[in-house]
Amino acid sequence: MTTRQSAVDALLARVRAAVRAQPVTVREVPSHAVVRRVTCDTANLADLFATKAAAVGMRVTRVDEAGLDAAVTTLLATHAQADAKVVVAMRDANLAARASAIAGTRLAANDNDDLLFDCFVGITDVDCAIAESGSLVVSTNGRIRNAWVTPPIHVAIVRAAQILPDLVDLFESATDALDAASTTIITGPSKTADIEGVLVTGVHGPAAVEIVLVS
Amino acid sequence: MNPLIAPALPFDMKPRAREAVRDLKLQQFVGNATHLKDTQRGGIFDRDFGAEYDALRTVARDTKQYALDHLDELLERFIANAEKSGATVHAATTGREACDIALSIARAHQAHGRAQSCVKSKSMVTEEIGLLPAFEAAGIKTLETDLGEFILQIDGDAPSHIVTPMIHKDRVATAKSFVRELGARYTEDPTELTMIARAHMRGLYRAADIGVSGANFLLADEGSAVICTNEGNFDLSVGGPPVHIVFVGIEKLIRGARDLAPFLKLLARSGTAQPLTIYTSFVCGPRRAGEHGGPKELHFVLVDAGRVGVLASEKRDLLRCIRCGACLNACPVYRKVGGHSYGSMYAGPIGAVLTPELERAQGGANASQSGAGLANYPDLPRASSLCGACYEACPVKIDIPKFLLHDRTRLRERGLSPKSEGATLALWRWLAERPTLFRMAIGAVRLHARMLGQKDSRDERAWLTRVPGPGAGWTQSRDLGVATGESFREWFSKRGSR
Ligand code: SF4
Repeated sequence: MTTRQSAVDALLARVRAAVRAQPVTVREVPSHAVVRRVTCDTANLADLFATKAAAVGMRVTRVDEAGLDAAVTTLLATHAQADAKVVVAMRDANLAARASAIAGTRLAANDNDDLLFDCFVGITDVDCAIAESGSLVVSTNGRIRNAWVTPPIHVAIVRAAQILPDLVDLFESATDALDAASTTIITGPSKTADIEGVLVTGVHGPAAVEIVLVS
Repeated sequence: MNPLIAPALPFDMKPRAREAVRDLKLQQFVGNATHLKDTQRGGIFDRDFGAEYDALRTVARDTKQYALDHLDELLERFIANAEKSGATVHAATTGREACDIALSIARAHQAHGRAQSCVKSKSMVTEEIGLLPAFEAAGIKTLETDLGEFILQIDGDAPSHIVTPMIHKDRVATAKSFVRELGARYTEDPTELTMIARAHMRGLYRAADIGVSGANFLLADEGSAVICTNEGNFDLSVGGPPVHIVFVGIEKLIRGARDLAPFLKLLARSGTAQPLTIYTSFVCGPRRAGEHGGPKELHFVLVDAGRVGVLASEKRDLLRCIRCGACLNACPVYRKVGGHSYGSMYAGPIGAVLTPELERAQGGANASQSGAGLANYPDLPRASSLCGACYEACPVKIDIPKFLLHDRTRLRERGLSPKSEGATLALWRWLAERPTLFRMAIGAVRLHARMLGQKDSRDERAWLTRVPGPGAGWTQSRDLGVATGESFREWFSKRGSR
């Protein structure tokens, strides 16, 4: 047995004894019903999601399927200089092809660990979104890790059907989002208030999160 | 280790507290920031949970208590699942052991004696075990990537708040250290200062050999860790370097994602009045086949450092703490004396009870400590007015006043407490006068308009409910006979005329 293994076993043994040293006060985990704020029958999840996402400082552009490419084109034109590199990190191959076509010559080659630091915009789709908190859920399922956090601008494409009512649903739903090596729930642009409580965005992650909400 | 958070023992709190109450700037910054956060916390829970807030806290309390009461099962499950995901799990009894594990991981990756570098995301447990000094001594250049921790690091300062570590520092100090340490041009603008730090760190992320972080939660079912940040620095710290080490106290375990929602909903609301932190990041094993980015090796170092002893003690409840910082913001004493007065990385009410307990439970395992517990921190149990604000603020309902009283009684029994002076009412009066003094102080030093702008009548009410007339609403629920006789009046009378 390795030293590592015996240290782990020793810890387990000590924890076992410590647990027994006091009476068990809670035998069952209580119902989490009170945790849920938004239920599945909420009439318009897309509206709620858009409101909450805006409240935490993300920008939301609402389009229908036909308007998606134009919206992405406009966002790229707004945020990125003509020579700025764009990384496309999509699980949905069809969306990836469309976004890559829009990025055109600015598309970064998707072949090494270092590329993200050279990119100005990361375009991703999402595993799902959460209406209650206005959050995006993005994982490494089919996506380059951190394409949503390293470049200064994150463009996220969300389909209305992907919106879950509540955070609770993320943990109870059948999505495979949490099976990935890395999953991030994003609830706003990167921010700090460390210096005298003054809010500054874009400290390490993106200064702007642009959501294109497709209904 | 930095003596601000790891002082010589026994620790005498009084000189630091005296200095803090005389420091107008500290009074202004800490007073305003904590006051504002405390008010905003109340506001967001009113808005989002209303009358159900208390029920939510009860759910969180019982869910975490369940985890502690079954920690052996959860730990076993976590280890099995983490290893299944490809991570390596280590166990450390002491802080020193935890550092040694990390050093041996680092050495295994060192190429031909080349100097190594590390990017580190904010973590309380790494402060506790003294990882940074251990890495620096071994020649591993380590960068604190959380902006507040970074500023403290380049100044040789130490965190004074669990969530907002540089709450005691201002922009002028930051501007000066950026000129001195980074060769930046002088600016006091927080946005410009932040961008200077960002630019400085970008290259260091790319080049780092090792990433280090703590964790807010460990999920037994998934074998993964959950890390909450606002800056996104964890994601960058774990995404770049080929090796990542997560240091985590064993009390962070919960059953799994199925139990996570109550804590996530409480944590950021309690700490900073946000619905969730900007980034809630899950890490499950190293990078997978075919993936770009992410560590090739992921290590968990499970840290005891006194926790097992606390688990076995009648203070098991303390391990429910999710380090949200709400009790610090709510505490009238923390607001006056600041974080460094507590002589620990855990300041405020939770620190006052947890610090002696962790020290005792380690039984002198650390060279700098004796394991004497309370006798090493005789002032901490008195650093409270027992107003109950910490308990009311605590999202997992830790009855901190109960434990403080318990410690006071033990100190008295052991003859370590001064004779009863009936000073508690004087303390209340003193605290009640402070808002006026704050306002006078404000005229003397620059105050950022944002802080003033957000003070409203609601804020005043919050203060008034926290500082009732002498003893009001308090003597009913607390035993005055036990609570009195503490040292606050002493400190304040000694510090001379205001
Ligand atoms: S004791 Fe409670 S309020 Fe204080 S930091 Fe811990 S969880 Fe938050």
